[in-house]
Amino acid sequence: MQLSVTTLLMFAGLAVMLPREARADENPHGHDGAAGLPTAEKQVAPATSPGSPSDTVVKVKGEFSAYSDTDSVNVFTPAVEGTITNPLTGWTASGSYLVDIVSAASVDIVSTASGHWVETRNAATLSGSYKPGNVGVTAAGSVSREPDYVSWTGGGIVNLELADKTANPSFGYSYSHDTAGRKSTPFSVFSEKLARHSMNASLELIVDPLTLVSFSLDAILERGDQEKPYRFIPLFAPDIAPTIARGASVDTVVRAAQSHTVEHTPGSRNRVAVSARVAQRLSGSTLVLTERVYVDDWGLKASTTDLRFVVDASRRVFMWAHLRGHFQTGVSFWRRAYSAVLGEAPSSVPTWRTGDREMSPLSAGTFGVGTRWNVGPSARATAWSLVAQADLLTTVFSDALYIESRQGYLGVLQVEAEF
Amino acid sequence: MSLVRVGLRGALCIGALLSLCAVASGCTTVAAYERGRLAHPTMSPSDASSVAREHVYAIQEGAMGGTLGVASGCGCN
Repeated sequence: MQLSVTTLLMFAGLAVMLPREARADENPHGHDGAAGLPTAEKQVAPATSPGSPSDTVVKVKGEFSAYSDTDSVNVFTPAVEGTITNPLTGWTASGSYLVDIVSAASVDIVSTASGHWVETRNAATLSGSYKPGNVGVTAAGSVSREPDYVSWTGGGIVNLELADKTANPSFGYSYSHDTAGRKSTPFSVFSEKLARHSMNASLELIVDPLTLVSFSLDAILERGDQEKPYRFIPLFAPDIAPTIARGASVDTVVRAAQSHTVEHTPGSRNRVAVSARVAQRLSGSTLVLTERVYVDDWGLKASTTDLRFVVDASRRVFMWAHLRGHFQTGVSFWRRAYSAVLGEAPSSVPTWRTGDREMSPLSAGTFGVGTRWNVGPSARATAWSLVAQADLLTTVFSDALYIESRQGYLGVLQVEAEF
Repeated sequence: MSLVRVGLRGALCIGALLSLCAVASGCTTVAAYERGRLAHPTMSPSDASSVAREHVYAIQEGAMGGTLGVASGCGCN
């Protein structure tokens, strides 16, 4: 991973050194490319009257993805997304729907003596935007539903264009209400609630004719229950806990544990993330570097670096490589092996305890490749596009039970159409 | 030095690099007719985005924020 960070910095250096003069014929966008950005093209008076059918652009995207990892989790996700835009009047409406079909027999399931299960998650979003001038507003809502978990979200974003559209700030807020329960048990009998307030401020800057930079600040305030009702934490005698090794097997843990208890985490969590993105158009290629730094009041600190390098193989074909590195500390109350003296009064069971491996210290890396093939007619090559992507994901858990690392594979096929 | 600390320090270097870009941005005015290449599809955050990939990252990384749009949570981990 140290090597990968060095590699990222080398790529960033290359971005400065590589020829940055763009080819005259390199911008193959149809309706899509210029739609979101202030260019001279957009200032040309429309040939047709505003609001006429020919002004409306309809985009449809279908996505089929498959994920599999070495922890026996397999996910198949078909998804569809549609957008209707009228650039002249400034209206946009969009919606999406996906189904996650999850088949899991992970070590966390095995460790609780549960069997393999299959579950589906349905998620949908709807949004509408209106941007008649230099100010735009977006309202959006989404819902995600599993047999034992329902999440509703609603929010809005205000976009501004300042300084001759070279500085474009936006401000957003969303509210989520999550209800977690147990499968086959009505929410009225058992449920846990979680409220999430998410605030975002971002600023996109045009640095030069080939460079976009954007900054984003996210504050996320969570109130409520974040424990998972299925997750049980093994408790060890104080002299045994230090001997439980990283990646200790289920058998070892079962033999050594004196008891199990339910997960219990604080009732509030405040998260802050700062991210920056640089998109640099080079000669026949594009380099995009994103960095996110994250901290929360549970003590988790994280850094995520994402790099994508796209090469224009031709006017119709684009190919890219994708690298991502994520490093995080654990939450302050994370313990690989929690210890307690049973029967003692007052109880010595730690107040806060979790078995969520994603709250432990970990390092994760992604290497991916992808290609876009614009297969539309020569006059509008982007009218139809095929996108194929493949990612190899690896995660190293430096202080967790059951597994030391996990390798995942993600394949994505997308079909995009524009009318 | 742990892998996590190495990563966090690397992040600080990258953050500093990006901040330098931001400082530089205050010095240039780009006319509208010069912005055509900025509209190239590959410059957009949504290019090659995948709901599946975003979901995998949301589940497997302890951090949140910095992503596009409004999305609901899940009980996935």
